[in-house]
Amino acid sequence: MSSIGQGYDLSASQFSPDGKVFQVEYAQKAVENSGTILALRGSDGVVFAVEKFVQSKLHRQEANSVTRLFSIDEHIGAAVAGILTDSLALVEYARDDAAEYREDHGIPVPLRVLANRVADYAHAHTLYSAIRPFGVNMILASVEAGIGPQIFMIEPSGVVYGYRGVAAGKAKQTAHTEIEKLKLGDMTCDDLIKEASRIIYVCHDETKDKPFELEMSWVRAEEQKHLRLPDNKLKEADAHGKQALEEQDSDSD
Amino acid sequence: RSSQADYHRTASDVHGGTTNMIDEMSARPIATGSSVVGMHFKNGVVMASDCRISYGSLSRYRDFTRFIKVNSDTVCVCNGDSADFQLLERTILEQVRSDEIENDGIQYSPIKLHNWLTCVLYNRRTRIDPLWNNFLVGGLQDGKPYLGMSTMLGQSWTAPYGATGFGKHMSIGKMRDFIEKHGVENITEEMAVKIITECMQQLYYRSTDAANEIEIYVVSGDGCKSEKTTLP
Repeated sequence: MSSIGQGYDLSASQFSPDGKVFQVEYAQKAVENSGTILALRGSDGVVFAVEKFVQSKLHRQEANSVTRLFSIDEHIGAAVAGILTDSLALVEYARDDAAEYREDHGIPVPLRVLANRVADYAHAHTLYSAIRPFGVNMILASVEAGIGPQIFMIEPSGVVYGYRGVAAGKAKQTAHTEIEKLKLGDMTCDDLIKEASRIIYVCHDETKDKPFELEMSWVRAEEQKHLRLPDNKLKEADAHGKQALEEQDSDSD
Repeated sequence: RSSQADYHRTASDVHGGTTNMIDEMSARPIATGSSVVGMHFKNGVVMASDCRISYGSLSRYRDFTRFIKVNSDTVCVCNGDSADFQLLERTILEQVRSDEIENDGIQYSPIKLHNWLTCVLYNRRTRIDPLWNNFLVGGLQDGKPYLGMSTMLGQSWTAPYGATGFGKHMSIGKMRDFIEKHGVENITEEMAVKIITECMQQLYYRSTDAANEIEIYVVSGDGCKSEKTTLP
């Protein structure tokens, strides 16, 4: 641990002498301990990929009740990293907010409006001693007419940025290095699902981490909806990821 | 009390005192749709309504759909106040959307929609502030035809045939005779659509607020399809 709180880390309503809010930093640490998630923006949509750790061999994969990919509204997808139950609460808030916007304005909520409102909500949790910040990084993505595909990521501090490609969680640094190598603007979602899967497989640490299941979804201009990858596409992406991992292992032999 | 009081009932008239909650409660429908009819056939249900909204005796809107397609297995349609219909349409579609984004494979079905609608309508009638609509909820429930009725008073029932408004007087007998003569399992989609069209035709002839532009919805194993047609 680099810095010890020294009594300034007991509540989010306190600064430390060197200008940090430790509770927020600790929340960010919680995100760094979680499985990797990433989102890639291509020419015709956004692809999500999640390294979902399989917590127990007794879990039924098909039950699919534990997931890190959510639809906020029909047209907006979210991937979450960090404390799962915190992220369920944040997803619930985002869903309520998006539904309210639709009810009030008659149109689906624009992504940047939702991202800002969720970010404000996350930020509000960094201001008081009675509550703690969300230990969640939430990546939101959508495709909007006239704007095209967009990605936003909200961090525990309440900061929100737009991205062309982004990752969060354990292997975020390695993933970012891989993402930077890609020419995202020239790639379609069909290309990107393979790359996303490859990056997840390559970043997964066999020795230190639990076995994982690849979860993927996309939002494309074609459907304008956030959808789980169809089974055949997921198999294809999964196989590509496994193969890339084998090639990498055999390269290093 | 003058006859005006019937159209302008306030909470104090109803409760005999004052209430902070609502100043005025609905006492009559304003812009209305006329009868709807529906019946079972061997693979599903057929339902029909016309496309007119009347404003008293004025034919106000000629191209208004009173159907809500909930999903490929479930449709509902109503007569009565069109503003109340639009409120329920928004609410139902919002419910369906929030269900779908959970992505857990659990969807609306006719029996669920029928029950929910009945609860809502009964609750409003108990507050003496009804949603002035009588609904027909139809579709496939566990692969079998389902037709349920929910009235503005919160009554509900299921039957192989159903109608609202003038249809109750003119169409129920016709549909019931047909079903009892042939049996639901022998009625094909074509036969059912023919009977329903004849019912709508009779209603157009005899009911002042019915129109000849009609919409027919068929929910069967092939999903849900609708057709707009003009009666001769």
